[in-house]
Amino acid sequence: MNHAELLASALLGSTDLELLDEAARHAAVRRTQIPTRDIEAPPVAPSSTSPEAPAGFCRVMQRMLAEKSAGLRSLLVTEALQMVAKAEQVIPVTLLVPLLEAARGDSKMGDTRMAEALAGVLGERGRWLAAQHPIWQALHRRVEPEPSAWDEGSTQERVAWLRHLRASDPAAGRELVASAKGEKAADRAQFIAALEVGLSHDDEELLDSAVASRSKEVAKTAAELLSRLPSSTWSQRLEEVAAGIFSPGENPVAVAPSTSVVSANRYLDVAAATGHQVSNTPEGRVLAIVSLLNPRAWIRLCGVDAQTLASRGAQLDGEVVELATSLIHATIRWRDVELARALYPITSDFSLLPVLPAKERNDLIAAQIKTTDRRDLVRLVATLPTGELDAEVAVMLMEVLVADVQGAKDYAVGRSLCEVISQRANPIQAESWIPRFRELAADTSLRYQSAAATAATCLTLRVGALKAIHHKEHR
Amino acid sequence: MHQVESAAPDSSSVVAGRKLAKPGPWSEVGVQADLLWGSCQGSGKTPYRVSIDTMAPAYRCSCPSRKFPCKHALGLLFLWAEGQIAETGEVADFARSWHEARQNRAAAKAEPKEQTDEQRAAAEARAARREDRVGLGLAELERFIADQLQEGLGAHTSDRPARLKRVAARMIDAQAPGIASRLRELAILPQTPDWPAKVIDEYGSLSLLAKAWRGREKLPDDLAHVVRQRIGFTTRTQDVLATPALRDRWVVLGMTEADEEQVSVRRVWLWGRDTGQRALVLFFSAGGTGFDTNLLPGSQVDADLHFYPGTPRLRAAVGTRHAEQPKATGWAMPGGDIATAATELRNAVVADPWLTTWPVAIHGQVAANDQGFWLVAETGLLLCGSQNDLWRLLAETGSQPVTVFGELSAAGLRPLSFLTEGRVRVL
Repeated sequence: MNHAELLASALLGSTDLELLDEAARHAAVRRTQIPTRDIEAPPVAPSSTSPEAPAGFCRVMQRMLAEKSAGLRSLLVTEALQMVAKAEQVIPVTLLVPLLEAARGDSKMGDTRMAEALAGVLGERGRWLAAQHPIWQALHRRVEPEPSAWDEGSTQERVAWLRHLRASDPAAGRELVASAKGEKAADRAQFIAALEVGLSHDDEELLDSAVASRSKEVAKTAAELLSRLPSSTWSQRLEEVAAGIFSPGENPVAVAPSTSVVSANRYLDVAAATGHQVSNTPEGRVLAIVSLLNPRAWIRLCGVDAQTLASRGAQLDGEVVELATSLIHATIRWRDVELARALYPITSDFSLLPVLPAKERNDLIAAQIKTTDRRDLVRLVATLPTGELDAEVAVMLMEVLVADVQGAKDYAVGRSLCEVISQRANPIQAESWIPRFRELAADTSLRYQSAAATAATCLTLRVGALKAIHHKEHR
Repeated sequence: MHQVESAAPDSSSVVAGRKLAKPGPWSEVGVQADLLWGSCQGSGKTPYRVSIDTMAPAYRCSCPSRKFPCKHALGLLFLWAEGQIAETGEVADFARSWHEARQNRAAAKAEPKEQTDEQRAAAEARAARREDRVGLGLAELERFIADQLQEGLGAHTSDRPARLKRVAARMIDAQAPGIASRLRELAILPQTPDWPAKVIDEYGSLSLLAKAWRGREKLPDDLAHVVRQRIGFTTRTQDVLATPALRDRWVVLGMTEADEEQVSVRRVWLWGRDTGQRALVLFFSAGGTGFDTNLLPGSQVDADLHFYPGTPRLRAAVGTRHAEQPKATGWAMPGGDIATAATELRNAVVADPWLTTWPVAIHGQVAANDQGFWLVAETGLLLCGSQNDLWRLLAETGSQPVTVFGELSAAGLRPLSFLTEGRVRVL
């Protein structure tokens, strides 16, 4: 009796108990039938030409990947991958799967920083592996795109290829954008935004035509890029408009520009794109233009420098208009170090600090630690990128923390300082603070005890990764 | 660190253990000789108390987890391995009492009690009573299966799980836990298109088991032992340890864990370097007592193994341990081809018709395609198990020819480890 007959009898019902013997025989036979298929032997994966990070790094990375807080995990892993890249090593094969999965998880949440850092240290073996997994492959394509992505990929993959192409051949990238005229406005806006890579005056013609687009999104994106080209027609028009608004003199008087001029050039949109609060009022239009104009132009236009203008403001309809905030935006936009240096003492606006070199920022923070309110202090230090907090400043911040143990015990400040020190301090200099954080973590009276424990772990892992990467014994 | 990871029941436990490997949640932490202890503050009011014998190793934690070692024990071990726990003079009370109880149990085991004639007679009477009960229970099972067959599997399908559970309960009363367990598994069978084939296969296998029990006196000894074991009779470890030993350098090739009713079972696979003999050592844990095992995947132990009766010879108990190596090295594991592995599985099923998996080592290349993962050695054998393990296997072997060890079944090969450059890499 074959199995189909046996099944039919069993389903319909039978009094023949010999069916059960047949079933037992079939069951035993089925247990021995293993699933095989004719498959050609696969080609062997390429070996990575760069050395793998040492075994000690694997242990540290596994601890990082086990970190409960997704934000801290991302930060630690991304930094460690950057350290591996800097040491010209690649990821050990045992870490490929957990790291590709972690990068996939982050990308799903819209954060591709880990994926970008990982792409540089995958090595030949990692790239071979990622190419065999549909999701890892798509992730990798976005980070290290291929030409076929333009014709076959998703919008994100097409943008990734365009940005990649612009980095090496801006003209070819521009041609692709020009060829996409008939595509959806939302996609075109993203393609135009990709022109920021390798942006030059050669792109001006294309961008000028895009500013006139019926799609607000496309026009806004194009205008934003044109505003970054100092001598573009758009920028010249802006300067002409500014010249028409402000009368020269130590106390300039402004006349609000017309709405049609402002909207034709998308001034309000571009100003808003830099985070400036804008409104389509006479004052709002003046401020938008101030926030966009190169601050160096003020001497030419009014005979006063931007610093003076920031402290005096301008007259509009008999009222004084404060220009400091708009000038700060312009300073950041044009990354004018000198003006940032001049404006910071007047405005104490922390957003100017990223314009300054890291060393100068550290010095400024050091000078202000004792006089700055603790909550502001946290914001102040947060302007430093990961790894750029000087040892000297970090020690001062630790002192603030310790003083806080005996003082106000402000949970938010304590927790934030723990985070800032442990995440932003240079790991080369940070090892000696680990025991101090451990002590704080053991202090049950401290409200931010757990933040201190996390800080100790964070520093231990960051220092551990750096040491492991440079540990030569087992290589 | 490697040994701590090897002791973990699965990769998620390693991750969870690492999260606890920081001083924050720990108090009352210390180590003295082989005894390690600590209290871990969880989400509840009372901290979990962890005691570990690092030499055995053996674990005890007051948490309700059924994983052994649990994440708290692993977290404490990671801390210890990182040198973050200092030797201390005073042992915590909870650790001392656990340690003393272990020592007392070990002493009691070392001196087996002599049975009196009366006790022996009582034990024999108990055994005879059980055999009667099993006989009656299996007769009831055969009637149930015959009724089901007469009705037809297509009838009353929605009622089948409840009926199967009722019969399973009757098998517990009849002291046939092995049968009860199979019936309960059948009761939760998903309604996939092949369910009728699975049900009739299992009815056939159970009916064969009942028949074999009835005719057990005519069966060869080894097969009779298999039948007893499948029904749920146990063999005392001390009786197994009294049988002749097979000494070898046993490499621990893999470990799996599963919950079975009230008991967790850890299956540890060994391979004799000199004899090529395969062995399966089982550890059981019930009620939070933890596994008492010191066979860590990737390690090697020179030991006497004593095999349980039955065929094919596989399940064993560890006797005298002569030497241990944390990592097996310099071994060219003899991996065969797929046809040989299939033959081995067939032979094993011939010897034990209820057997579902067989440990094999196959030399081949790992490949992935749209249909899944394959071990290619002339032809391709489907790999099964967790996707994460399979991707790791592909990543780490890079499709280089390697010897893969795993459990072979009708679902494919579930890889547990592979051998590269003379070293065992556990998945």
